[in-house]
Amino acid sequence: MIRSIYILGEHNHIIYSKEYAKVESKEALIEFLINLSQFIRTMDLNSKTEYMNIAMMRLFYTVRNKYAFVFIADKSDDTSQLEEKMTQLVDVFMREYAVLPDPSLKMDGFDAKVDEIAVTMVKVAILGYAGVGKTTTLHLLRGETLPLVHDPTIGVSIKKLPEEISNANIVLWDLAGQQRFSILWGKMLANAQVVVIVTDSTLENVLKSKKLVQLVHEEVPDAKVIGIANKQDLPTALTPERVGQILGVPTYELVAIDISYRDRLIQIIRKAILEGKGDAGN
Amino acid sequence: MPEAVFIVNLDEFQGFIVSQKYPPSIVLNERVLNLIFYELQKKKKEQANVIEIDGMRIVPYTDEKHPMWFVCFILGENEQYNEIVEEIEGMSRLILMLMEDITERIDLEYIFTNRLKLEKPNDEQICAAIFSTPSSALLLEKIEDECLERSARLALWLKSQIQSDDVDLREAIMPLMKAGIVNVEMVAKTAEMVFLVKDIFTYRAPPTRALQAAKESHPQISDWYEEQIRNFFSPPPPNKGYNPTIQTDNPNSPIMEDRAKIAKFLAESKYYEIIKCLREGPCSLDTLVRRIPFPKQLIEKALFKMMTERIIANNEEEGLWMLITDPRVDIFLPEFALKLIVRKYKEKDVSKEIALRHLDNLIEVWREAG
Ligand SMILES: Nc1nc2c(ncn2[C@@H]2O[C@H](COP(=O)(O)OP(=O)(O)OP(=O)(O)O)[C@@H](O)[C@H]2O)c(=O)[nH]1
Ligand SMILES: [Mg+2]
Repeated sequence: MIRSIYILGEHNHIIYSKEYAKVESKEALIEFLINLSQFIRTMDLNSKTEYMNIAMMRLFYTVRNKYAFVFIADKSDDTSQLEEKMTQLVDVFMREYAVLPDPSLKMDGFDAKVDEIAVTMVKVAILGYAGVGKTTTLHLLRGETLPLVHDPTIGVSIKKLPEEISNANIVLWDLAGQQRFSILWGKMLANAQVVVIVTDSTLENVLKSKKLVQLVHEEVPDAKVIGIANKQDLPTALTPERVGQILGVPTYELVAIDISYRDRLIQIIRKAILEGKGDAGN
Repeated sequence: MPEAVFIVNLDEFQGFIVSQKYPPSIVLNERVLNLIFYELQKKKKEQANVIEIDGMRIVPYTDEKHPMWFVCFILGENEQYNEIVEEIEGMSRLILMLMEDITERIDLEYIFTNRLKLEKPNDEQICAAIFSTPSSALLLEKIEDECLERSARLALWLKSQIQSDDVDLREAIMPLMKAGIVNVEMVAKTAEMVFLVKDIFTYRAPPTRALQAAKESHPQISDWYEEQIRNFFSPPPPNKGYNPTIQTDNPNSPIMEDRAKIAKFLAESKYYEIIKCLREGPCSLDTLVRRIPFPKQLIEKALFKMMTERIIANNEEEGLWMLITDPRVDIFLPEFALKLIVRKYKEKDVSKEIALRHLDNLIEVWREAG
């Protein structure tokens, strides 16, 4: 996912920047960008997009005429997709702004175009057997009133997360857990970047849910998978550590009917999205 | 007459999207769309079925090529499903095909109120469709060489050819089975065998029927028309005419490439419907638009595409389109199979039982024919 975008002009000053996520040690980064911009101008990049890895980030850059363009993205990002986005950005800029006498003065309207290019959609699928609290979790994430009765989901319920996480629109897919709907799971998981496997933390349910972890690995091998040990308020609940051990994926505790868990849960999902699969082993 | 029609797409990010509906006043909610999708997943595709949801009787339709799209009709109160199922399937096929070819919205109202349909693919199209799937076309060549082979070995061979573990023999062989080119059978409970029972040949034939029709209906162009055909099949020397029977094993040879092209024109309805009309004789664009349920622009585009491939020609003076080569796919008895079966038996590659089963298969398929 793109964390920030910079365009540097002729004298290696920044004429446009947009930050979607907090950038760590920003001053050092900017100094680095200025040096980089100077450096890549002297190289013949042939308007190709190149990239380099810095810690957990991946920096994409290219030059067109007097301008240098930089994306700060994640290592887990798909390079070809980002190269494509870079091309789009460069094209828009060169066509509409570079022709102006001083582009840095007249960038209105550019922001919206940048958003169009940089903002992505992230699909988070919520999977688990019937009644474990998936729909409750969805409502919790959306900050809605929490239903106290089990009204089984039919097929799938798809809702946006009101917050953007960095520059991604999050779409939550709350899959129906009843056995008869299991024929849909495979198709519904397609293209999910994150899969949240919800359990009600009873031994029986957690053991059964191992099958879901398996299914997810088969259907969407590139997705980041996390477990949820829900219903921690009930006496039958296994600890999240135990649930995590059984499922074999990083697992977090939850009481989905308790609103105070909301921020924590959003942080967990944010982390899962930013880390992606690339970090799964750590 | 159904009350309404709507088209739904299951988008991998946004979920169910009703992409078009008629009449525009119909209201649909997520639950209804979910239940329709669920019922479709349970049932066999390419066959409409009635589902009752909230007092509505809905008939959804989807096909293998568009698993994430479905077309739904809402039945009228006293409507008998059996009486209109064919019509619904025909309209659905047309809508799905147009969705693929047209970037703008399709004219759903026009299709719905005029009951425009696309027929089921016929035998000719089913045979031609083999060449639309590269792994199936590849498999066909292999089976033509082997005549009979164990499924397991074919699966290995296919994997090595395509260099991927994702390729599925079942999927690749399905078009061949549908076209009746091979039979797949368990022999003696041990070996699943693939038997070649028909051979297939695609080529361009001279459009004799269309030319004959032109002589009667449009005598003013028949000489011109005949010349176009002659130029293709037997042009004056030193040019060589079309000869589809030249033997070649090179998959990149022009003749092989041409066969694949011909198959594509037969398999894809947007071309095939036009070819079917032109086989009966020359037609103007207006006539084609009247006879074929596609929008004019689509027909025009298909015509120009076929013209560049020398399937058809255009007489601009008379405003007429006509076939100069008739794309054909023919089915033959694979006589060479018998020799190969015997050889494989002698070399102990296959058992007597398997060899006899293959012979039985051939006899069964060809007994009635000829
Ligand atoms: N005690 C307790 N109950 C919970 C918790 N989370 C959810 N529930 C209850 O569990 C029941 C089922 O919750 P849902 O969210 O509807 O279940 P679901 O997983 O969406 O079920 P399906 O849609 O059928 O797959 C409801 O009665 C919730 O109130 C929790 O943390 N603690
Ligand atoms: Mg639910």
